[in-house]
Amino acid sequence: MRTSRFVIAITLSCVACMAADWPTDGGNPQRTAWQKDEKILNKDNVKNLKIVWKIQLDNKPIEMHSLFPPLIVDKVNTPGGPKQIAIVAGVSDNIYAIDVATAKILWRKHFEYPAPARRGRPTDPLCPAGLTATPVIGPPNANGSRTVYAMAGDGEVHSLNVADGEDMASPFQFGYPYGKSYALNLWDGVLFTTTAQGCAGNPNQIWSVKIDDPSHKVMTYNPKSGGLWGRTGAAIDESGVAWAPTGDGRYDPATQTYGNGLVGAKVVGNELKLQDYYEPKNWAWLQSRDLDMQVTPAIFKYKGKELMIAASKECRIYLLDTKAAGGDDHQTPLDRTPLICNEEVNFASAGIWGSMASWEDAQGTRWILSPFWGPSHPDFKVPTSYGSVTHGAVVAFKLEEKNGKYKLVPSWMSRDMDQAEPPVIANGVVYAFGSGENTEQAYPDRGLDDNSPERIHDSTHAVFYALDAETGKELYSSGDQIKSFVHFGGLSIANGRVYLGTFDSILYCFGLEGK
Amino acid sequence: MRTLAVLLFATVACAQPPAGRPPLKERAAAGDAEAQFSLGKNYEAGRSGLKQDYAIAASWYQKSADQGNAYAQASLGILYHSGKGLPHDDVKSEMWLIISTDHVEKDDRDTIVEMRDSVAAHLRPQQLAEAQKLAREWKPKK
Repeated sequence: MRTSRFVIAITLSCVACMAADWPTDGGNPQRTAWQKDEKILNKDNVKNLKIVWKIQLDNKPIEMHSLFPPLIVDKVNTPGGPKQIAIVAGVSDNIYAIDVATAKILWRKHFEYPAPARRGRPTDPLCPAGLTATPVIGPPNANGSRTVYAMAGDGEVHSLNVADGEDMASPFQFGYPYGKSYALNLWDGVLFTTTAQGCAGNPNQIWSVKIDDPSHKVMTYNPKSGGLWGRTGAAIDESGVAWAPTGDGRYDPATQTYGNGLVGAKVVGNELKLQDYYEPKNWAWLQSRDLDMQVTPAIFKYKGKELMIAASKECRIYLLDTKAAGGDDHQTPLDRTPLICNEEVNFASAGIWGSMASWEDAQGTRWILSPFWGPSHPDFKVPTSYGSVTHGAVVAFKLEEKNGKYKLVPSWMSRDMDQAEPPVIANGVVYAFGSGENTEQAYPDRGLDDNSPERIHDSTHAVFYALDAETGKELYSSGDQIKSFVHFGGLSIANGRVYLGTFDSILYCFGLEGK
Repeated sequence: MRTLAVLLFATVACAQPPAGRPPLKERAAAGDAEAQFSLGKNYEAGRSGLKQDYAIAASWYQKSADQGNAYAQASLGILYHSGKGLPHDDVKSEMWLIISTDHVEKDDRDTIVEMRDSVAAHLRPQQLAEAQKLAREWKPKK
């Protein structure tokens, strides 16, 4: 009896100590979007998901942007005792720390700065004048404190204590004012971001800075391409190489020009240097039809190798080896899928957008997940699907290897989702959402007129789904409960709670009653 | 005011084509196949100050395709398949995709072949034979 009590006590304490975090966009520096430590939600109970709380934040949306994916840290020692905290950034230069247990704001920070000399055109959804990079949370320091690194709209990085929002260090300049930086990533003391769309004159490139460098020298690598607009910025491999997709542009290795590809750069000394790159053989076709590679890759280990998946608006997925992306000629992937969608070669509202995802099941099967927009390709065959897909879906592949040959094997395609966004995975469940965002950029009466007011007006609302990760079967849908759409937001998951912020600056928290 | 004037000047300057190079529409009208393809693409996407118009896009693609531009040929094939700006016609779609396959640079060939085979899968044998015959008989217009 005494032994069993002891075992129960040990078990309970272990469950308590196995708290999960979500310290960065995409869950980890490799951007797999896989929460490995989820213990509460599973495929048997997610049918009972509900909105356990929602909170209206006072963040003012700018253009179509509002809240970025929350970061989650458990067991933070606060003045009020240990708490699980959600850190949420808003485009109007706001950071909120929310007590997950009570949905109360513990602290908030608003970054003030003189108006930058340049800004994006008003109504242009591409260049919002504000904070655009999802922050990142560093590992515990010697005292156990956690720091959230947040880049304000003026490009300054603020180092804030997760517990109370106090400055842990002086702010330093990293990005370009109103330059639209993408999600921060952190690897071995180096912060990374990427930029796109040339907002406010900002060059399109990978950026890095050593946090502990007193001079905070900004190190950049410029692939001379279109924007590096993978939604979750750069993904970082085990060697510290930051991989980022490049937008439309030419490929000319003789002049170090790497448009429509994927570049990997690493901090060497005090410089950010190109280490490797991949260019699809049909880069010229991609450029000619505006089908840029602009999806943040996901990086993972598989049978002793470190592999990476990338994609483009053309709507196919590439499998690459991080140690030799594209092989000797930089143009030969380990595998590439057939076209999954975008039969009409649409540049604006179809194809793969955002970021990739990957997880491994208990049997050791490696799964690859991708969202896509628009109708599925009529010739794309998948063993399991759930009706016609016209607006977008999540598609899952299994990775197989035989005699050194790798193959992405289609497994399932989800139900139709209105502009499917990057999914996250936890404990055998895929969480996904259709953003409900209007993505039109051109109109018959005006031509190209990508403007926020019209797109906001024509957007609907997001729908959040839980899917069986092995079959794609819908286990839960939020239906009409979410009232607004999502643009550049995203899912986060930890400790039985899934979070999603919407355009109207409401943060939704889905979970189980009493858990 | 001075800033505004500078800005205005910069905007006007940016809107002009590079020195010595006629505007895209002029080059297209003069028969430059690459310009015709670019103009067709701009009409298809509604870019560069143009209204989105698939029919006009198709007409510029046609002019460019007739001269042998492989991207225009593929783009014409795509429009025939989708029925945007042109009546839906998978035989003509297949014809142009076959022709494009024969002209496109090696590195882009796989992509066009994939589209060609995709359309072919929707054709009856007689239709496919017809498309292949039309493609064989096609000659670039000078």
